[in-house]
Amino acid sequence: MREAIHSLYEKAVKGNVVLSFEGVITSDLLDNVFAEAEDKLKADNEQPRVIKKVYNILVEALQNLFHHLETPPDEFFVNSEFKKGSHYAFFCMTKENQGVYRITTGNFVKNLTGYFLRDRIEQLNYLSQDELKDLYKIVLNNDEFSAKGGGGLGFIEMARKSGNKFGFELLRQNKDYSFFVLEVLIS
Amino acid sequence: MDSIDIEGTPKTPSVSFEAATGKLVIKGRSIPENSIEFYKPLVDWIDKYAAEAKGTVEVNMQLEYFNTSSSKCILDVFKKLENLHNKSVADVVINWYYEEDDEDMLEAGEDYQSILKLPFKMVEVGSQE
Repeated sequence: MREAIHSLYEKAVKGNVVLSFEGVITSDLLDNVFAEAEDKLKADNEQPRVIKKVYNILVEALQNLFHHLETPPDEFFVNSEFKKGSHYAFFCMTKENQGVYRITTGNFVKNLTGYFLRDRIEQLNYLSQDELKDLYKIVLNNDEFSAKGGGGLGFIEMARKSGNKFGFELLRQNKDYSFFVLEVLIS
Repeated sequence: MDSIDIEGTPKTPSVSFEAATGKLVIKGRSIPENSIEFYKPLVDWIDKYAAEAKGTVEVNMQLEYFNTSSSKCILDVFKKLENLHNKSVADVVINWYYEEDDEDMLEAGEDYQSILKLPFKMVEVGSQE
């Protein structure tokens, strides 16, 4: 299982890589990644407008990982460099042609969560910018807050700001777990 | 009543709530993983402030970035202020700052404006770059 997941990471890390990581996700790690991403975007002389958009989406995508990733099943850790039970995930950001940025994340989810995510993403991919704006305001203004503080706005916000459809793969690993790969293009 | 004076960090904004002048400022970045923890004291403060607020309450929102976890908490802050305003306790005005090329931040302000019954003023500022 470990090798198959690693090859998904290798597939994502191609072309002009701005940053990439495979391993254990912690709050400190994300702080460093956000600072590094901002420095690199600035060093690349991107317009402030582009820097903000990419930074915002990167924060949503990686905080989503942090809040919602599942610890991989035990078989993942067989012959792996990671300690059993660690919060494994991967992500990378690349710069494509015509100034398009691509953010890819990969993490384990429970199968049921995976089905829910798939439905949600397919639904969001179907909506226009105006519909996304309306949905954002409805969800913002309801009183629900998930136990993890996300509030369900992250995906809507990424769809709105990126201006593109999500790409995703949901790969079943065993009877309990799937591996979820999300791709956001920002243009 | 005590004022709130919090210094900014790379993930949380600076906050200055002055009871005496009715001037409330939130400035910088708001991207904490757990925003409820950060915003709860601010919401509680406004609750208490309702007892003594009068005249004009000027709120300056000068955010550079905020995550979606913060966006709900910011709405909670605004809803407390909306209460103040609509009970005619004080005249609340929200100044929503955005950098000239930052359409996303302008749009975020307009989203709040459309949800709330509060006077908003959109204030464009020159880009820092």
